[in-house]
Amino acid sequence: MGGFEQLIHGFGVAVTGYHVLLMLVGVLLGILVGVLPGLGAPNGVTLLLPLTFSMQPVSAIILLASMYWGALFGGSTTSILFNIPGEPSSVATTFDGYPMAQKGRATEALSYAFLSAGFGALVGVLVITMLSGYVADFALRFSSPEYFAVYILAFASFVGLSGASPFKTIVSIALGLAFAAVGMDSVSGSLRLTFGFSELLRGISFLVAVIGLFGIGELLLTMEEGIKFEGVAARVTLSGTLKALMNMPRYWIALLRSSLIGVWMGITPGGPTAASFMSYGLAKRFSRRRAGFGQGEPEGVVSPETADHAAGSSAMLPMLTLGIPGSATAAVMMGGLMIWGLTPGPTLFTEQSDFVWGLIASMYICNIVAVVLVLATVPAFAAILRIPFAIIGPIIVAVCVIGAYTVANATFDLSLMLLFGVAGYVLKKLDYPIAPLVLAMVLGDKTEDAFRQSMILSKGSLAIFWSNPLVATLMMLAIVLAAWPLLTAGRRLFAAPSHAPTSSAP
Amino acid sequence: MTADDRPLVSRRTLELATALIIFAIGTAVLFGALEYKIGWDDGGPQPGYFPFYVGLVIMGGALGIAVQALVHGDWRMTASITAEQAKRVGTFFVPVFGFVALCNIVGLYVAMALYLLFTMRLQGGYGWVHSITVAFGTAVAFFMMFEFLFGQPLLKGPVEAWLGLQ
Repeated sequence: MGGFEQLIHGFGVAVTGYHVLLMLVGVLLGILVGVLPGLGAPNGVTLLLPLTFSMQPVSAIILLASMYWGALFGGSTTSILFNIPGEPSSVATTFDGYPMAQKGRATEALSYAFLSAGFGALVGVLVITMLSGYVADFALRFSSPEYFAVYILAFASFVGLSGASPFKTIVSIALGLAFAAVGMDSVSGSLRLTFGFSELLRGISFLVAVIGLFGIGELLLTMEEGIKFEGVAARVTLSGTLKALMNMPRYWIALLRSSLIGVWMGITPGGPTAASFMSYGLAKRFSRRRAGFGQGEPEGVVSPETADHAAGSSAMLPMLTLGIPGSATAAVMMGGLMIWGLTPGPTLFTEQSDFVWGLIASMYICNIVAVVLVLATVPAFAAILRIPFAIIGPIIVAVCVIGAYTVANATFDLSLMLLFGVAGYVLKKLDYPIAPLVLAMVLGDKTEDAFRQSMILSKGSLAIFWSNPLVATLMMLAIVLAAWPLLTAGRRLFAAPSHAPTSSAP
Repeated sequence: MTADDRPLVSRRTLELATALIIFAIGTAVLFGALEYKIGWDDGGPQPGYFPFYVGLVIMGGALGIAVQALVHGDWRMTASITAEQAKRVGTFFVPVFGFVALCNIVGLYVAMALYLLFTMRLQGGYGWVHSITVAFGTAVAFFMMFEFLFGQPLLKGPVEAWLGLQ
């Protein structure tokens, strides 16, 4: 029966006073970064990562993962109360959450959001518990060519599924790979792409890139919009929460459908943002209550929230079992794993079972803790948002600068962070997807190593990527996914030759 | 349309400029890779092989983006940044830039305090007392957290040395 035996063992690792304290701290910090504009889950986890270098890996990952869950919850709070999504993945929650709050049903909206989010997360963790053992066993059969094929598949699915211009996705991935190649080459020892800058010898840290792209870039976008928090009064009453809890079973179809969407999008690198939009879209099309959507329909809150959190938690499955993160935040955590000296992938399950199952067990506890904590602290965090942005904004900048400095104690990284910040601002304005860039930076060296090792195995023949059914299937899937935009464009051209498609991005 | 709503840069211009910069980065990666051998030897691909093709892909992708931007008729007229928005982004970014530059001279904590003081007093319109309290209070709080609680000292400058805090 799946991994339930190991799970019991995992609870033994996770339930210590120290770890529960870390979970509380992590969730609270997570809610804070989720609530604050300009600070999101990927950036928050990145800022905290350097502080965990001296911790035990299992304690460190519990802290970072708790922060991730907290951030997902925090993002929904601002969506509902202020109509401002704290996270990209909670944009879809504003559609019905804010109208509900405006009608004086803020407590209910928040309760629906948090309870369904908790439900989605638990489904995601259950899936991880049941499947991870099998996936890891299967992946143990992988050698370099299969790994290379899996990495290519991950990149290809971004191109095929992201909805952005395929050229922009490809450029985003290739830029990430190029940044990853900067510095000492692990195989030959040559210093690549340093252009004479001694600061570039140790490479470009993806942590600095994330702080720039997601932190400074996001702040610049926030400033451009001229943000104003004019929210609905936040007070969570017990009766409102209970009412929402009693009504939850009515939405079982939405909960189930959204969980499935979320788990699927989390395991494939679609990510929580795509999951929440897709779930909202499907609910709007198929729900019996679709007439009320957009005017404060609880199902319009339940659907995106469930999918968001199901995707967020199940994104850990491919990260742990294959070494392929399913979201930008998971990519950062995987980078952390490598910094702590662990090798993400199937061997984790055999060699570091305390780490893996401790983390999985903590995900159960943490998501329940998070639902209670977030309901209890909504008024406090809503009050933080009433502090003027003229104070909060610069303090967030200061936190980003400190975070970028702590990565390697180098002032050069601060300039890099600014560069990435401006780049992030422009790229986001032009709808370039940013997550593939981060993923490629984390996976870059591993992709190149897998490629080189395959070539050594095959003595330079590319035929090795078609040499057995497994690797050939993976490669075939990757090619189909990468060619997907071409296929759909071609179909549209033939179906409606009279008017050319004007927009490729939704 | 007021003067501040006028488009400063059209979507198409910004798309083309970005594609140009990306193309330049691709070229740089390509030439950087050519410093090493990009072919094959007994040990498989040589160090320049992978970056060389990555550089080519970046250049090709940038061309594709540029063509898409030129074909896309609507984007010629769409505003990407209005003058008002550029002003807001600029007033936010310039002090950040100054902050980072100051870090190199006076260390992180002092630069942070000065940056917060500047933004609050001159941009936020707060009084001196309020601004100084928040700015220096925040810097001291971060100092306590990082130097003592986390044991991860940050960049310090002459002021800390003068106070004997090194």
